Amino acid sequence: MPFSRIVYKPEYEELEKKALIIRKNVIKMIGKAQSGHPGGSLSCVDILTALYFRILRISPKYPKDPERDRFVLSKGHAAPALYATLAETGFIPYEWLDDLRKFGSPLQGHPDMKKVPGVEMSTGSLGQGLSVGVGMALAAKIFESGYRVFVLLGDGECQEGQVWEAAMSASHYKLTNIVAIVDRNRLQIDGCTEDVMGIDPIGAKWKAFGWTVIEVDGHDFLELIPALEAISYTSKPTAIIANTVKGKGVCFMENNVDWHGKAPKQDQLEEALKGFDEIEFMESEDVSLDSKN
Amino acid sequence: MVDPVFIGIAGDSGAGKSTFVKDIATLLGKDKVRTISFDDYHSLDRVERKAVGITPLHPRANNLGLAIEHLFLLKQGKKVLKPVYDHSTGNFGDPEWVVPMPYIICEGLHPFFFKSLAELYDMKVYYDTEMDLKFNWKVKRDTAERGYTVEQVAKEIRLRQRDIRNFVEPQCALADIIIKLKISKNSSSAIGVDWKEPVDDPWIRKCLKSCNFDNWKCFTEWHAGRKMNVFGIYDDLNQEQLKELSGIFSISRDLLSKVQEKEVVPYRTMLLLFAARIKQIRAAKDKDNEVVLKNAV
Repeated sequence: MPFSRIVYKPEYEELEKKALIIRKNVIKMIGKAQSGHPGGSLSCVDILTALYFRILRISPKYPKDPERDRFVLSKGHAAPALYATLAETGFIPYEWLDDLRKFGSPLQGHPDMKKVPGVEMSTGSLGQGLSVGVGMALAAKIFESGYRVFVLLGDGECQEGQVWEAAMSASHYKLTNIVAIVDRNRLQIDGCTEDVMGIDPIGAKWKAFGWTVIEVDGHDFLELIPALEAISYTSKPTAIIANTVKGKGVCFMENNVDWHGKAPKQDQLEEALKGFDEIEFMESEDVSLDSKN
Repeated sequence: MVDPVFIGIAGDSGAGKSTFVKDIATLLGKDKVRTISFDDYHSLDRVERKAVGITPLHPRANNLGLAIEHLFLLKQGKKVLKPVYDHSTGNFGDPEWVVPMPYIICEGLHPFFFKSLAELYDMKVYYDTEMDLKFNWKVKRDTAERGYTVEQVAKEIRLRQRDIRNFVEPQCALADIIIKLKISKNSSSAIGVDWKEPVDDPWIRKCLKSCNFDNWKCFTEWHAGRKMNVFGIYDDLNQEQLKELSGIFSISRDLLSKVQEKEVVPYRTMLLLFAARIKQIRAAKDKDNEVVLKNAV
């Protein structure tokens, strides 16, 4: 089995472009399926992009390589973002994206490890992903394997008791090869997380459970990537609190709890896509101005 | 965007680097200085080092590649996430963000061990302390702060002599300034300072030209294969002598105003000289940037 690792590392600007493509695909997919969770999917796109294009040692050619890094999407309802990223990485064909949430399609509303290559764990029932991740990391330690485990949690998900049991056991077994990323967008299905069941101060909580805590801006690759790479120099499990904006990238979805689990209508879809085109245009404009100077 | 002045300070463990850095930071203004301790780039913790059987002085026990990467990023004005080594436990703590500041001081065992590292600095200092002084300081610090016993420290010092000769002392040859602390009977603090710079360095040559050789001890000597101009400070200075010194080395007034003691010990004088030197580098850099900006406009 060849050593699976993406050798080519794109630069930050390239990553931003990739994130934009993924965001577009997420909106298109959900618009076509007329159901899904756009808010949480859009907020974690940058984290997924950083992971899949810079951090994870994986190869679409060998999705079952035993030495590959594991990524568990514990907030399973953000599946559209994961699917779009997998398509962009080459794990699944682009055509599959059209059949999101259709009967018989491999891409269901929550990811299925049996049907989609590159998905490590079937998730969706919130709170279970970190437990699975801890198991994987423990296995790596027992088999003396070098792979690392990354788990993406929602912030509303941290209200689940199981998350904290897993957090406790990770620090008990001194798992230095696990990273929990909390997508801190401050909103969940019923409203603001602090109103539903307050989880602040979330960093102090993880710290008390024996984790190394790094707080970053979840939409800034300059902070995300160093934080994700910091796994190599701590002697504790790492928790990254990524402060994000729910529905990032679509102006009418940003920080709006109504868009947690609602699909955009045809006119809204067009408006959203137009917004992305504008961002793209502005970025290309920036580049041309820079080159003139 | 900040274009930091990089200062590297190499020296044996216990030579007094961190105290020196702390004092320099207070002289330059604490909000302008960020210190990076190269001890944070240890790649093995205390238990692992014991298992492998190497001292922290060995480059192999240090993640110098990461250090190079971080310094390059800081030079570009980007912030970095730096590991943190906890001396009290011998383990790694939570990493912390480092943002570029006007002065970035890197102190440690191998700050310019590699050529690619050495080229990054605007100023490289080798901090050399006489063995007797060093022994006393190291015993005092390691028993008080780092949880060792006196016998352990003495044994450790013996064991690491070879690694010091092999991995730390060679950096002497790359340094711009060598600061040597030695025992001096003339001073009230019992510590005198030799300030050595290679003879081809324009700064000290220019300064020494305006120096009255009857009042100051200046001579040349060979050190690590290079001929050095040495400026010796062995006596306590009073404010008048300090004024004369500031004339020679063009030390600015705001720096002088921070040293108000009647009798300035050689160590403080050396700090003053050093602060003046790097302030001049900072000023030169700002001037260059201004020119670049003007041209761009």
